[in-house]
Amino acid sequence: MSTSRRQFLLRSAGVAATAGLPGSLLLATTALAATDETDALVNLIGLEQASALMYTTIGEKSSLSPATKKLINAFHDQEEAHVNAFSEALKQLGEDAPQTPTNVADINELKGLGQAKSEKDLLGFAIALEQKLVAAYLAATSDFETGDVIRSGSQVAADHMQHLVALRIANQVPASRAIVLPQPKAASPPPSSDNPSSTDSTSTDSTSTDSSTGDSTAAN
Amino acid sequence: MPPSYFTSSPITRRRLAALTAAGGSAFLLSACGSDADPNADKSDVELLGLIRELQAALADGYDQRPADAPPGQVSKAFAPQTKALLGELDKAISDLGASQPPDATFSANLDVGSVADYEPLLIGVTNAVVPDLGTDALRQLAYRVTAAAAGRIAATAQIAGEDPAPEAFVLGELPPGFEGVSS
Repeated sequence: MSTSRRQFLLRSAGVAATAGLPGSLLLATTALAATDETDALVNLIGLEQASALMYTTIGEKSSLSPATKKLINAFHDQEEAHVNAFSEALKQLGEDAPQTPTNVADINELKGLGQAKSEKDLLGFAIALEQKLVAAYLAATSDFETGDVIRSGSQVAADHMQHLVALRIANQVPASRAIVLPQPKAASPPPSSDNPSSTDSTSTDSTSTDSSTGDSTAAN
Repeated sequence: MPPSYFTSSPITRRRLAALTAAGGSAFLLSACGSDADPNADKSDVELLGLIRELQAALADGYDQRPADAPPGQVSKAFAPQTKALLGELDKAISDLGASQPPDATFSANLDVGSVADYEPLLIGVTNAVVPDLGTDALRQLAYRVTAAAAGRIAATAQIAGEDPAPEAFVLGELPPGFEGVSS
């Protein structure tokens, strides 16, 4: 399915539209072994799911200003759109998408979220995860092979950069530092009962005259 | 490269609009065909040159015409980043053996109101050519170009009190007469 079809569906009717795709639209595929591309998509979907759950959790906090809450809710919906699009892509490539997580405690990227109370702490947490998302999409260019996936990856990476910049500015970071690009860093596999906990290092930023972006390392 | 599991080419924006006007989503899905990618046969130097044209317009604009730029000190904040990415594009073109960047092909005909109007065009053109770039490193550079442009758009909007991220998929726009697909 082309990226444009996917986008139109997501914009017009959300999850229901994706679920209602005609069977004839899904190209016949043979069962294939996992590829670098499908592995990358699985990992990115896991990160998107973590982000969606993070925004759900943050959105419930009473310490948020109305403006920040509006951002959080919008970003949650966009993460869901990303999950739906890439889950469909994965399906057409013959792989299953990871199951949707429901428990913050099960997700390595969300460690420490429960301790974030103030709006500043919550914004800092979201900034750190969005930074990871941008870094992960930049790194995924070495794994993506299908034209539609490559193009969609660029569009979604750009969206996450917009999330990152908006959250930084909301957290009083000057524009010159808010626009700093993260360095590429591949996403980790989604959690399972076999995955041991791991500690990620903070992504370093590039393409800026400043070295500090005022980001929290709460998620690392 | 494994076989493509999607239709061979994405739908063009123009065709999408026409089909949308014609009927509902079910009709859209069944009627979508494929359009040839006009950039598929271009060299990496040519493709990077297309991106470079717009990146250069932005770097020049933010550096030399701050009065025309977004409010406050935002334009001055954007100049270092746009220059740095222009430098990376020039280096990539040079590394491919080109003695100088390709001549501008479409940017001179663009009717833009301000420097910031180049940003969605940069995203659209880069999205159009990124799948045709020949190496992982070049595709990653293209991703960084679009992400940076999207970030600058978000910063401008956020500071102006507007929605910084209105779309889940940042498509950008294609310049009039530019042959390519951005979505």
